[in-house]
Amino acid sequence: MLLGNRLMPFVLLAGILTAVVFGQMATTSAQAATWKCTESSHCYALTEWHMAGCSAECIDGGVADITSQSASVPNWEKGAFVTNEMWASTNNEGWVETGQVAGNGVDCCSEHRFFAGETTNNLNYYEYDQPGAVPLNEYHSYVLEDLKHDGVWEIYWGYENTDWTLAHEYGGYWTHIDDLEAGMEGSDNSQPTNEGIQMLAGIWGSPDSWHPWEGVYKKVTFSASPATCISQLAGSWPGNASYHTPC
Amino acid sequence: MPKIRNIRAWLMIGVLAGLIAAAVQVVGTTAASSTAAAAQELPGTASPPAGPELTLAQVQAAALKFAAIAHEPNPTAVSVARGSFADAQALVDGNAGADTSPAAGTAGAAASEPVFLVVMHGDFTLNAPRPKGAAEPAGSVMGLILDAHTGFPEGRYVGVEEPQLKALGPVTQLVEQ
Repeated sequence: MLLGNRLMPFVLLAGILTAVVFGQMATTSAQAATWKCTESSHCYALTEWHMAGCSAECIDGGVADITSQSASVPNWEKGAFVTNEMWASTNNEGWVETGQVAGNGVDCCSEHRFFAGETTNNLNYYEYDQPGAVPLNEYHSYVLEDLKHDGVWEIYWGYENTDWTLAHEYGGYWTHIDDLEAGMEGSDNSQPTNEGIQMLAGIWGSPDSWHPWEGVYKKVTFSASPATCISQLAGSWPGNASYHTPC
Repeated sequence: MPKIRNIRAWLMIGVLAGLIAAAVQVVGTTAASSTAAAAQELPGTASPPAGPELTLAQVQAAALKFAAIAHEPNPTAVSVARGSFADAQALVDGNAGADTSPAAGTAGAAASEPVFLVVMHGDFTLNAPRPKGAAEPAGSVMGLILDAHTGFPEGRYVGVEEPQLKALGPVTQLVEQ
């Protein structure tokens, strides 16, 4: 008992260190690599859900709650950027996306909500960046959906899943999606910094409701470019993740 | 043997304490962030910008800067018109069948806020957010929506369609053909 008492502080310290080390190992897929991307060849750390296609499986939309914790873009004046966001598409015919962007010719580090889309014929791209900056360490909510199945994709912005605003509508698109991706995108010749957390949902059903990113045929996967990391949040829905660069 | 059992017990307690400490740290951080966030003003609800508007020289400088970012340092036939944000966006967002009423797409910015819409011609390749594997948006026309007061680049269009600037307001040519 005496020996136990003397050792107790060391044992507690060992326990904490064990927990920290174990936690790091369990939640981080560190990649000892250097940043290899440029302003035109982008890096990504993604949760990807490539569905089986509408003959088997496709859905009506996606939800991403995003918390940005830091961002810094060295070559922001040249248009370099980092984003924390979600993309939706079908058959790789155009896309719509929304989330938060830093850099992009504005400044190094402030985050702005944005949406963008390229038409299905891949001929026209339009992007809107909101002037007011989004504070770090808040979670902001983003929805891409076409509940009417009329090819008009509605983009909603919210704050902690309340205060929803219709940010935009992109028309002339597909009526369902079979590809959802979410995470960070980095465009810079030099290593930027970025750190975020995302909580995801897919939209389908009758009536439409929010579900995990997990289908009957296809599950989510993670991908990370060199010097970026992404990892599943333990005990959370599939694809809910933290990500950062550098690793 | 009792001592060994004690050490094992302390080891168990130590690991548990470590896990609880880590969990408390995570929960505490999240809770603190949420509380702080709730006390702050929502983004996009601030007062609209005021003060003097950009001069045409400033508009041209901003337009050429973003054209250069889009790999076109020498755009031609650069024109500008002034109007509301909602009207400018409706001219460049490439919609087909979507609701382009002022209420849709303003995202906290007042639909009636004054902006400059600049239309440029050249060979543009925009370094833009895009899905993994997608090509960079490219086209012969670039549109840029600038906040009339701050110059903030609210909208960027690259494509092949010509926005009808005349529908927004009187057109001024900044750079000749």
